[in-house]
Amino acid sequence: MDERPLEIIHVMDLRYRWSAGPHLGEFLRGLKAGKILANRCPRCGRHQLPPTPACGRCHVAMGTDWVELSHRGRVISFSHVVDPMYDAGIGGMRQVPYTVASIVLDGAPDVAFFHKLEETAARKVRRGMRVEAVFRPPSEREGSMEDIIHFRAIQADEEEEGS
Amino acid sequence: MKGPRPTSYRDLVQRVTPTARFRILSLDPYVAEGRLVMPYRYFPGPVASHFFRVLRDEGRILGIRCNQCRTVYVPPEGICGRCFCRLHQWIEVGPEGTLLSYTRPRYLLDIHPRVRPLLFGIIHLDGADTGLLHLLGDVDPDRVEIGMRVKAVLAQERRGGITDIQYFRPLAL
Repeated sequence: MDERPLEIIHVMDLRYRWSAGPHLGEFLRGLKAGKILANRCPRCGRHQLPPTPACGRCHVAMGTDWVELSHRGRVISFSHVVDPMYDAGIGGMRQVPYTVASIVLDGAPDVAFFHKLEETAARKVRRGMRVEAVFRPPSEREGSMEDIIHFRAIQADEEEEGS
Repeated sequence: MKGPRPTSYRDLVQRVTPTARFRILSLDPYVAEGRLVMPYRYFPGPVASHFFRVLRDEGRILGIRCNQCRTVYVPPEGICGRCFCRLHQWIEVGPEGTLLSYTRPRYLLDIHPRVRPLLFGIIHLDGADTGLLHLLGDVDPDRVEIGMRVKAVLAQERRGGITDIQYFRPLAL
């Protein structure tokens, strides 16, 4: 009897439909319009970004008093991804290297936004670095997280005219 | 998956055609269509490895017998569920058998086998004491009956896996 282990190779290919719901849906529609929208808890007042239906601390329904946040903020944490990784969402290997960062946007110091950093920004990234969202041109936006291409580093002399 | 058997996980991953992450179907309400593609390698264990290898290379269906209670398990098990003893007595079963039960799915998904009409049956192979879940084929769905005699139809190109049996067809057409 052949004792070598047998290997069964299979590709599971699943398709699904996903509804974002009213809160996340509003956020994604906002991205298409070039806005970064957050909602607030009616009890503790904290922001949620991306917006959620309920406050995880107070266990109450989140408000729909939408707050448009600044496109600028600062990096509080980051990670360089260098290991090629399989991505089930695209059915292939993800392009490496890339850098992701937690960014606290101006006007909502209580919540961090997670996105990619532009390549040159990634090379000089440090905690506290000032960054700005780079949106796709309006005609290319479709209402997804990819409507923001990445965050780029902003110089000290740019701060005046932007904010 | 098309083409020759992949030789490695990396080879397997390259076979999958990358697609867009998801397609937005409507903005208000926000609905998107996504895809999850998961290639994987699976080790079926020493008992099932032998079962699949004999099926692939010799086209024979094997069962495994408990020498204590004489139960013949198809598909084979490593341990008898009644006596809790290790099993190693291989015996050949089938390829003919009796239909124990069947079902016809009322809805079809992408993950279902691409056999139409789609009928799942539990087949009691001759010589076995348990039922084997598989597909029924070459069959009029309105004339399937419990107790019907069926026979395994083997795949032309066998890769080592349960789909090396294509389906079970009725003996009397």
